[in-house]
Amino acid sequence: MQRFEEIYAEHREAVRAYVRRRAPEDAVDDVVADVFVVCLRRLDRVPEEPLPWLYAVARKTLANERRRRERSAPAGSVVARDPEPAGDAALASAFAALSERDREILRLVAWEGLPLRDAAVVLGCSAVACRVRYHRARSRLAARLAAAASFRPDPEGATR
Amino acid sequence: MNDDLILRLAASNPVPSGRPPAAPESLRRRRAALVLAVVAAAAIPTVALADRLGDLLGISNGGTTVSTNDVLPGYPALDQAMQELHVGGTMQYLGTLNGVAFYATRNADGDFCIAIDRVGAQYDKGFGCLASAVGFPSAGVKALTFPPASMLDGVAADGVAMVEALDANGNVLASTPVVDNLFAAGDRPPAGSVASIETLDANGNVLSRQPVPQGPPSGS
Repeated sequence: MQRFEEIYAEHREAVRAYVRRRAPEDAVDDVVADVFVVCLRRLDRVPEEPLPWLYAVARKTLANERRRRERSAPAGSVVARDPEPAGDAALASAFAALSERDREILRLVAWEGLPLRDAAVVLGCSAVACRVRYHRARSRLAARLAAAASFRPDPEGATR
Repeated sequence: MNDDLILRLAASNPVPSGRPPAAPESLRRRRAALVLAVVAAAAIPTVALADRLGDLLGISNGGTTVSTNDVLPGYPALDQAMQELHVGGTMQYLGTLNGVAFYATRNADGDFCIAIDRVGAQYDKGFGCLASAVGFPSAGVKALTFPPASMLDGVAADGVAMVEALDANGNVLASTPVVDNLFAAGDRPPAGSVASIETLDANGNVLSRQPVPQGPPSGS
């Protein structure tokens, strides 16, 4: 039990921040609580470095929460979207155009500050696969961003 | 960490934690590998390099080598885009069709990069690397349009004689012939209407039909 208390005290804020970056505010408390309930139940399986493992649990919990909200949303309504990159419209637009798979690995590196070996734990892939995935995602983001930034469209909408 | 793009993304963190992004260890190794690759490339005789340009782009039109500084000159956004996308110091000038000058290369990631310049015009010009075009040219990807989904200008694989823009119902919105692997339609398809790009051979047989990625609006 002492180990759980240590994990909770040390990583509660990081897990909460992870969840807040990906979920509507009204879901955060429930998801964070669920993550630590899983941690308590599976304490014997928590690795020595628990944070990536906690993020992995949070990721699955968030996916369940999203499915639950989508099922319970009235037909035709819009379920709240993930928080986007803040304060950078061009980046937000390019980021939003990526697949969720690409976005998540970029978030883990840029927002959680994880090295790729830890991101691999969160995503459940090998370190090599994670590295390839990261570089491809980064390239795709750069391509989206650069294409949008460098193209100068005709404001009249006519080419010639 | 020296990755400007990831630092920019980190700066836009909606819930900042104060923990800086870690430098991916692979990036450091890759940088060293790139330096080695550049040294190796410099050792290849120019003639041999010219012979390989067709292989580089994967099309018959290998073009002529020009400095990237000569592509879309006086356009500061281009420099940043090229830096972000790891483009080298040269591109291939593929030719000018219907007033549109085409340049192409592959960047360090192997993506096909294209620049279009409507010579003498102020607008509808730019540069991008098409990460969605992995494998071009291939059986499934026989034409690259730039910018995707908004123009019918671009580069086509060998054997493609005509490129068409189709709507979601398969109706032809615009079509244009291919000359020396290049195509440049006179008319812009209606905004947001292009669902796929179809390529045809000289006999009118369909070679490929590629869904168009629906990205963010181009331009800023």
